[in-house]
Amino acid sequence: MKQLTITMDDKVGVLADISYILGKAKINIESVSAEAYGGKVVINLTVKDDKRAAELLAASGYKALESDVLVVKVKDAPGELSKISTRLKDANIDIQSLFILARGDGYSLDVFKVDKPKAARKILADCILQG
Amino acid sequence: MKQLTIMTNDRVGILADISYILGKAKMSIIGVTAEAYEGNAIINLMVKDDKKASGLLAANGYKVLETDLIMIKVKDEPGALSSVSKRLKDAKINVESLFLIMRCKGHSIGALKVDKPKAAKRILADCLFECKD
Repeated sequence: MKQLTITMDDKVGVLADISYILGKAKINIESVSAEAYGGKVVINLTVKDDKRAAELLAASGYKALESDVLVVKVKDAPGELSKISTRLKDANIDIQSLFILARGDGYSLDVFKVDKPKAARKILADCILQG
Repeated sequence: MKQLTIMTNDRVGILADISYILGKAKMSIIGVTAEAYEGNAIINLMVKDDKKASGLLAANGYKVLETDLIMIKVKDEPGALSSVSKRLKDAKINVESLFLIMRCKGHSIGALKVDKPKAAKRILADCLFECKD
């Protein structure tokens, strides 16, 4: 799975614009996080058709950085995120981005972007869902 | 509902440390986003007992900022976020932070942090989501 990251100057309406572009093209946003920080805004998106979404955004002047992410399935219980993140930490792997994609049936699907994806895949082989 | 925001210098193991502190205290994380950006890490957390979490994290040396969140429930379909964010934009309300908490039965529940919470609540009155627990 790919994550699209857009980093730009913060202003009112950025999110409205981006979500309008994708909505008009009938692209469903599977997950989104946005964070304004020091006059900048960082928007992370996951969509099914990331190539098409990136092209549409580029055509409207938004540079979207595509990056590979790991989707991890863990029990939805206290301490589960701690187990995963400790395993990554012990291997000296840095988590660059994290969000929850979905929750249900006692499990949650967490999306990780890390600095060493190969090593992380090996370490988390037992709970990686796809990608 | 409150959002806890932790800003710190980015290094390997911050998330492991924070999630260990909360997990040890049997606190379930409802929502989490982490973003490393220009050497800093920004971690947003939602937990049921935000006071307890905030106290625990502060005791471990983390500076925690608590902010009010607006929870909204929208249909899980293309354009749903667009209609919400357009209404905020038209009222000149800036979205400072947004994340998706869960998707179920054709709906998504999102959490928003905005610069004018009162006005935003009025504008989005028809899709506000009340957290029952």
